[in-house]
Amino acid sequence: MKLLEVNNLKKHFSVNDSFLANLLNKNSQVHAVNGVSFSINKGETLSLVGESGCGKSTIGRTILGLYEPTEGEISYCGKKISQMSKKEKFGLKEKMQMIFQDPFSSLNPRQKVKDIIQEPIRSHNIVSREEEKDYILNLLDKVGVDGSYLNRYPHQFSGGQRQRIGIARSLSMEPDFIVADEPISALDVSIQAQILNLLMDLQDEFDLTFLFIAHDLSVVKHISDRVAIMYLGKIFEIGDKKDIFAEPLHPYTKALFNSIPELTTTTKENFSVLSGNVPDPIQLPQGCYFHSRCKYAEKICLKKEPELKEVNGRKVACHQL
Amino acid sequence: MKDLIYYFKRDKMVIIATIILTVIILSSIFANFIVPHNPYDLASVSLMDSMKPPIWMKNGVDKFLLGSDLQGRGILSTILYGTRISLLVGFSAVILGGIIGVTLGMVAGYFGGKIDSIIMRMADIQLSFPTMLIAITVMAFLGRGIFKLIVVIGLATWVTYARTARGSTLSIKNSEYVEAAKLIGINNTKILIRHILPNILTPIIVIATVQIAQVIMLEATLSFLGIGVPLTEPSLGLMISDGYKRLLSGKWWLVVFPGGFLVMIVLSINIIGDWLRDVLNPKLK
Amino acid sequence: MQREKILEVKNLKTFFNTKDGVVKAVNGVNFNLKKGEILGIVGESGAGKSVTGFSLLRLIDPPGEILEGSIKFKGQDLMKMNERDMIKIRGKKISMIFQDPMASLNPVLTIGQQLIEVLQFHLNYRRKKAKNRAVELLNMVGISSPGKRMKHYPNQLSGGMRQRVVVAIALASDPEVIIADEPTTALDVTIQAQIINLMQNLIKDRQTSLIFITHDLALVSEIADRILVMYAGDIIEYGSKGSIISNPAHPYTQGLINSIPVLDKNQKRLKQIKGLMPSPLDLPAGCKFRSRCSKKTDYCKNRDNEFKKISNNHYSTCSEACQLKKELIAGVG
Repeated sequence: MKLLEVNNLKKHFSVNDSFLANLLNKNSQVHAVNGVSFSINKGETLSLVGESGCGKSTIGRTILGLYEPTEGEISYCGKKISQMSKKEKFGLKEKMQMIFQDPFSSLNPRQKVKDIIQEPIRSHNIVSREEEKDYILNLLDKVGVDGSYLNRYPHQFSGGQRQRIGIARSLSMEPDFIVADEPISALDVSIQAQILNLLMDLQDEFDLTFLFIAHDLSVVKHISDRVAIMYLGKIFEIGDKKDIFAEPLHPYTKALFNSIPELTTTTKENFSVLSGNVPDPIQLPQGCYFHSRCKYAEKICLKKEPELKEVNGRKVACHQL
Repeated sequence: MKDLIYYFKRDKMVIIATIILTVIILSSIFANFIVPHNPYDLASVSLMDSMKPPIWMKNGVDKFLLGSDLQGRGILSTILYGTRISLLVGFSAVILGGIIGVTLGMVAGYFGGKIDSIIMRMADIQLSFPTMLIAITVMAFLGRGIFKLIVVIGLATWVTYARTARGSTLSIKNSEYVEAAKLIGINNTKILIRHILPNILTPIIVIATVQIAQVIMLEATLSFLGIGVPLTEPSLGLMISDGYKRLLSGKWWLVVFPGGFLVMIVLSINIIGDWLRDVLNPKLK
Repeated sequence: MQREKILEVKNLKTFFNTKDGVVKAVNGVNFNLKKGEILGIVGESGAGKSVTGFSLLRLIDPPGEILEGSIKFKGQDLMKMNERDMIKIRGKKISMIFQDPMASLNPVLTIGQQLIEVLQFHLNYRRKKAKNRAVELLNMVGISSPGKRMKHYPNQLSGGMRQRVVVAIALASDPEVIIADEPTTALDVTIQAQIINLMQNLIKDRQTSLIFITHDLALVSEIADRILVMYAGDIIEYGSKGSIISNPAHPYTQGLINSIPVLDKNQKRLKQIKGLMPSPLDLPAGCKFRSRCSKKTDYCKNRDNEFKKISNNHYSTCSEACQLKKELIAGVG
């Protein structure tokens, strides 16, 4: 069953809203997301992968309503979010939550652990006041934080523990769908594994659906069912994890995979395959967004934007396939 | 808090300033019990005691430790009663200005757009007039009065708080914990009170501390000019103004003691304010 | 072939006196660096790897202090040198590359001015010569149209470009040692690969030695010749890369390797190291990894930090390692 559907989502931000820029009509736009469509089934983990600035975080935040989409539709359980009433949207907050990247800025430094987790519970009347304390203790136990820390402030915890507290806050309203925005990239290696295991355990226990946003491919491979590779606000390749990792098809996916450092005992002569930089998202290039860095680029790639099309059981956006 | 105590113990200047300020505040609050008479209770003053020098000088009287003025009021008594009013005006005006400024600043920073433009243009316009000029003009128009003084000074100083509050709000309104609160569905008012206000208080407290000293100075100046505290109330500014007229006749104690007291208050507060700013500044840690 | 030792560090101790107590960041580390070698220092945040790097150039500011130790650079002890001579070493003989390029570039000077300044200061180049050399350097680090780029300010460049400029500045004086502290952590993978490649090639050509400090064991395994693993201010294992990756001896190193998901392996759950690194304010006696170790014995409570030989070119402080059957980590090749 499709839990979430995103249809031709676009999100542009204006960069220059100064008085003078407005006057001269020189209001330039950052094209963060440029027409993205995908769906997520219940209980599944879809990962959005790409380098910084590819729009993956923007998609997550737009789905959750932190940003208004510039264009396109997002539907939850078959219902368009833009057509929901205010009350329905408030109810939807219980169903869709987020886990943040930076455990040091995702918790209000002036709130105690108890208050941090209490806030969502009270504003949505999840449990009665009498049951509240047990409910919070149970949640903390689930995420592996000692119940005796209820009255501590965030700065008294390590990064890993803070991330666990943030996860407890997201779970407190018993959501079905969670956007995890680089949830482990700010943590130390030995802690990353702890949090990754926790997320997978929680997914099994609460039947959660994840949109997992990451740049670390080995982590993505570990946690996802399906993967979407993004570049400059577009999906270049989307499909089953096994297919994509077994045989990446898009030239960018290939290059990305080759750039990932791996544990090895031999020194590679050359593990960089991609030259140049990502183009400026203010002035999008013509044709395929990747053509300036692609070694297979031909005339058509400079002119026509490739559509996502079925190739070997997945969808790829490339003229050369 | 632990940190504050740690840094406090290591800074002698601040310890001295705090002790001085505490003594001044306590003695002005409990002035009734410390000094023998209320200088503004007409029944207790006598013109016979007029212009007595401090106790250690020839003609000094036991009753007046620091001498007395033309009306026979004890200088020390008047100073303590006057300090009480100075502190009352200082704290009240800062609280009033702070509440107005912080509220407007947070709203401007958080919502941005037109609201921001309107509030901040208002602030700019007010800033282009010196605070003193505004206070003098309005007070001259309204006439003397302690309550009026508090309101006028409060309104004349809100801009400083508003600018700081707006800047701090801008820097944290996109932080992940504010996003998390939005995702829970918390409304804007609650976000401002629960998530933004507690996290912008630090710089505000620093400014407020320094502002107390400035407001006390402003009050003294206005009273000196005769448009602040009414003549029927004691005030350091009024005392200095009175004494200053008689400085040439050798009655130095009329002006030196209240003046010195004012300097001590302002200096202590400023030292504490500077220290707070250094200690609370995360960049210096 | 025995290569010349260019840097020899003995019993280096760096502590920080903070209000909460003494932070024992580096607790007496010993290592050396050979000419033309890439030495990786791996550890989690708080392991003392960056402080080690800064200590080598005596860039420790109060409340930090290098308590003891010697740092011999080509036989000269840097610890005994006065500040004036030290300036001639810093940036000229030994240069440093930091994680955040914006922190080492001056935002109000063009990158050309910054490069020229370095060349004039360290090599006493005349302005004209310095300018030509600066263009050459930018070209060398792969910046297109270097003449034009000379006039750009750091904020006009992308993150990858800035780090290239930093590399160019670090190489400008032709140093013998480069200390790179997480030089690619702030960059995207494809850009990281470009910078790593660039550094590898430039260093090979010049026989420069590189100390590569990172938390990323996988990245270090791609480029280093030898690896040092640090934990809570100690070096707990060091040796040739091949031996460390394929045959880690210390339970911490093993845990670190196991907790990295491997691309061509299917695992359901990652093996995790439980717990946290002890606070550097309050380090336990004996083995500092004890509280997290699954193989601890009573002996670990008060054992010394002596290195035990595991094999040629491979040493570890864990004595368990000598007795335990060596575990081969599958999926690593």
